[in-house]
Amino acid sequence: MRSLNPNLSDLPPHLYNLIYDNQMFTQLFPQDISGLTIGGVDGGYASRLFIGFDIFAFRAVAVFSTYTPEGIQKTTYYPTKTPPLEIAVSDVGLSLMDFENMGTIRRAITELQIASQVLEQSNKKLDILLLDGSPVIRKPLTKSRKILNYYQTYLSILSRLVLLARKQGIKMAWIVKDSRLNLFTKFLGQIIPFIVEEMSDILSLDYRRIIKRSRDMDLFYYLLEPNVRSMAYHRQFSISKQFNQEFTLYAYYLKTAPFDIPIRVELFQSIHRDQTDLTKEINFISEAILPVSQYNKNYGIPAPIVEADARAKIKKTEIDALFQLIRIRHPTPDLWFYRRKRAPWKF
Amino acid sequence: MAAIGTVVATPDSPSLENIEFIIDKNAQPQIERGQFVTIPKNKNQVVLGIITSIKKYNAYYETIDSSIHEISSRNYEAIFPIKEWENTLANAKPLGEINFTNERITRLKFPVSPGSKIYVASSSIVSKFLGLDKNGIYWGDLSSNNVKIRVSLSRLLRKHLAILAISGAGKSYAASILLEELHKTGSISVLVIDPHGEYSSMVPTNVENTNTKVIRGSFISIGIPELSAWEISEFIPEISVVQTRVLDNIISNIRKKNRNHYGLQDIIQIIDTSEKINVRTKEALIGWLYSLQRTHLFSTETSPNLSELFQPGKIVILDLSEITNLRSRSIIVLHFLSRLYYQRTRGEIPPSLFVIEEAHQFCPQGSRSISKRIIETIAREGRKFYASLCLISQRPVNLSVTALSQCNTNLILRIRNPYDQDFIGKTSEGIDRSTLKMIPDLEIGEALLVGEGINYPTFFRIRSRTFYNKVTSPDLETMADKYKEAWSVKRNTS
Repeated sequence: MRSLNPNLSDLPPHLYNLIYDNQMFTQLFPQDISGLTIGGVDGGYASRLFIGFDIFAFRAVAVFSTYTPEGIQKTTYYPTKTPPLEIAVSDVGLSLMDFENMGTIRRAITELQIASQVLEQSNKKLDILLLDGSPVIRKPLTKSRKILNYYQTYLSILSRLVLLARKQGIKMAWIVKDSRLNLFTKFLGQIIPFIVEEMSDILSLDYRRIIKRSRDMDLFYYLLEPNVRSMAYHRQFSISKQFNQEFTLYAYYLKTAPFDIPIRVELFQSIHRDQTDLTKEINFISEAILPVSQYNKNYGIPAPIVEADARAKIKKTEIDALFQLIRIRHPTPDLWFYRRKRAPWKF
Repeated sequence: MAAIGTVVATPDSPSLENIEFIIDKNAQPQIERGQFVTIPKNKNQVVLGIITSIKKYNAYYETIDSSIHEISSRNYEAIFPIKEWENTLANAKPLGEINFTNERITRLKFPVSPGSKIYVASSSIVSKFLGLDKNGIYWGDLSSNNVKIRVSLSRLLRKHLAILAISGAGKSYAASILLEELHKTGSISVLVIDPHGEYSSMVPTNVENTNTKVIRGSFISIGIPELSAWEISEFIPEISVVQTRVLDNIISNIRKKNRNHYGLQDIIQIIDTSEKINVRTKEALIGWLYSLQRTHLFSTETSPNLSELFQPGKIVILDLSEITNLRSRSIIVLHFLSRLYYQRTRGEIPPSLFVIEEAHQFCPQGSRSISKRIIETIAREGRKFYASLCLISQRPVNLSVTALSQCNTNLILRIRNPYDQDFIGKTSEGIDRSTLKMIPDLEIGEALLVGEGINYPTFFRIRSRTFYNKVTSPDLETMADKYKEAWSVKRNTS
């Protein structure tokens, strides 16, 4: 299949409309990134449950480097190289699921706020901004108004961020390192009967069973060569209707290192934009990601994301120190802990 | 003064034994191992420490994988901001707590806090801690703390000094600094045993009245009339008590006849013609005395008269480079040291220092040497009579343990041999394992002073000579060319 690179333009419209490319694979050429400024944003999150209240700690960092032919010329961190933790106390009795949702959404909000601040202050000097993870957060199944409000806040900040990037001409993409999605495998299962003439040998296999058991990343690890991306796939996640500009999300897989699973790249595009523009933008971003991801045969995450991740990560020692501080300042701190943490011994 | 770093919390730091700290990027050029640092505890107290190790850390290179799978055409540093995250960490060993109110230095009883700022220790604090004397012997500089290593003369020499290093590491240079300082102070007299003539060439020829007198080996003679039979027997370790008694009778008879101008040949003749002496004793005695005569050291008079030369501030160098025979050298060392030491015990000469180069030759461990007894005696008892030793050796392991262990101050330069290092560790008081490890890495001109003379083992750079000449030995090629030239002249002449 890899060598045949089937043409997808002959697919029936209900399938063809799901994708944004005519070919399954596109060969890319790592571009010369000298002169470009590429940024990465990532956030960290840690939490502890107590009786009657919960504590969250967040941190998000943006890092952007300007490249020259020799390598990095300058690296800037926002807000600082080692920003302090942002602490939040929730006084509502959250269920475990709500507690998880709250943490995830608030971390995403912190990341987007940092990204927005960077864009507002970058004065158009930033060319590409990469964010860690996927922008897709499904609406939480909860009755908690507080969490739903946070979710709305997230969508609103996300919309503003996408519009701001568009306005400033900054290309923005989300990088998903480890994905369990099977959108592409499902799609592949659907299109095989239509491209069967080109891949007759596949019929000798029980491909449905194989595809059913595969995830996108497993599949593309074998199908993609380094410097090759998959077709872009249309994800069911739209934003910004309130700004009269609807954006929809596209995802594709990109193989950066020969022995690493591919990364998934996701980016928003206006629904009014034509296909050629989108393909150009996808290829531009991909060809800029490749040089900053190709440093190790076994690992191919873009360097700005690796660096932002390292700075945003909340270490266990930081959390321990934080809670030690709370313990020192409160007269009866042990009453807050759940019984299992109060045991006078450790088995 | 700006802080150079911040104390970090690790599983074993800060403790009473170790303080780990992260060095500020701007301060890195001024930090070095062996440097003294302070950590303020409050307004009146600081903790003093010494930097024992420095290491760089960068999480990007924490695992081997980060470099072995690198794609050759691209290196990490071109893609990642790696330099931004390179940190320098150092470990300091806490040495004590200094209280400015009562000016006392006490043992550290409680660790410093993580997050404490760390500073380069001021020269006054370091000088006080090391027990330096502003009027003492100026050996060199601890440049990282801007401290002049001035050691009290009394603390340095009362209990003897040893200078230990491999060949070419600067032992003689270090000793010449000591001589320069003693020359300046002009208080004690010094005898230098110089087997290779290194010191004699240092003495400036264009300066008159330098207080330094060089005596060449060829001008040295030992006057037989000054020696008793028992003293002569010390030059011949194999001589028996019976033979010594016979020799004593003969010398007594000569002296009874008021003869005070006789030599070895005279004694040999008397023994040879005597009919009272047993033939076997006679033959043995004549044999021993002939062996002494063959050294050409003995005469009817002693020269030079060291007692006269040994005035306060005088430095006498016995240049033994012309005497190649080790036995002859040992005889000279034994004779002059014995004479001077006993004169010192009777207060006839000023407090003295005996500098012995290649001390392992004259006072070896595990083998016999004519001069060993007197050196060990001075090492054991000299302190009471203000007679000090400065033993210089490139093979401490071959130097008498009795003598070396009495040298309470050691100046150690570079030593590579592990046996010697181990030996120094055993015989030097106050050297711990980490200090010992640093000795092989010392550069030329760097030294470690340890023991009675200084409160804490200290690495420093030996100062430049100001009075004695700089002597450099020519390289092998130059010497070969010189010989070739001389040889062709000789051939043409013949």
